[in-house]
Amino acid sequence: MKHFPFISALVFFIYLGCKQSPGPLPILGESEIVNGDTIFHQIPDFSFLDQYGQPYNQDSVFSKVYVSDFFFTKCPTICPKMAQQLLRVHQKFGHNPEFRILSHSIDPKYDTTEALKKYADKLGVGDSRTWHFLSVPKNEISAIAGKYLAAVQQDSTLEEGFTHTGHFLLIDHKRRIRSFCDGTKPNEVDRLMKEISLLLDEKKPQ
Amino acid sequence: MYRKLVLFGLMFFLMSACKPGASGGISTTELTGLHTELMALHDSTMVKHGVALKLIDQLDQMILSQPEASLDSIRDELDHSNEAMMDWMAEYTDPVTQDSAALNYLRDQLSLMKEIAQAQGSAISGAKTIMEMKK
Repeated sequence: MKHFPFISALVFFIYLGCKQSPGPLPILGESEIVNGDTIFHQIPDFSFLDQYGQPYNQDSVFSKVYVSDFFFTKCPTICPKMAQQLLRVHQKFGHNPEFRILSHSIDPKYDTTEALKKYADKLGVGDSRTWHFLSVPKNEISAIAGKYLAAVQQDSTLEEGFTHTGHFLLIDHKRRIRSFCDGTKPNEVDRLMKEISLLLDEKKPQ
Repeated sequence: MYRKLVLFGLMFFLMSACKPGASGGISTTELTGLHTELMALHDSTMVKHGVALKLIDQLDQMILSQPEASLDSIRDELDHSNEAMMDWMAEYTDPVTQDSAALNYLRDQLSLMKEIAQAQGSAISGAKTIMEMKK
């Protein structure tokens, strides 16, 4: 009995020693080895108009961590659920200058700059400089969605039709896909928010 | 007296069963069912929207190297079916009432959505067939 405090302390320190901090998030998508270097799948350069009518491109997310999704303002089913979940993400990380949300509209005919601004206003994020609603030209939707959802397609049996799946993609400061989740499920978005924190920490200078 | 009570009770149950709902004779179950069916069809059609976009991209590449009227035609068919889907969504609004007008509206919308889905399915399979032939 007299050894009890000693044993308790020993157990406690062993626990602390064994408890592992979560490792870095994996880099998703196909990679290739070129001259001994691993080249990871990366989101290509892009340039779309945002809800302010301003060009938004790869320089706008330079060295930022961001979440990307595909939606359209007239969608009556999954998009409102996704928007509610992204509002939670915005509420938690919207103040962080190193973080962005990029919502790509797949309906350029109706989702004009004005329509996107109206939609943002309705969500209460009309003045946000963190959340950008992008109008993607019709002939560019397939290519850009394919690049973002490459990781999802690799990891699941996702059907060919990829623009209406409800996924959120987590992209790091080097435009590499680090995680994704079903944006209609609050518990999955909870997990993604923890991963956003991890990525933001990863990005901080050591 | 007992028989009268039983008869009265029976009539009450029959009347309750035949009485129209508070929605002017409209079954809310039917309304909900129609709405659910419509939204499910919308979602499955939107999944194919992505498939059509991908095929359009592939057709554009083929047209560049081997321009042909049949390729142009099926490309336009895919494009129109996708446009029809987006136009439908821009026009559609969820009914706010639960009456016969709402029921008729949902029935019309479901029938319209079925036409759009059918046109899209036919354009997709037509495109796949032509592309396979041209390989």
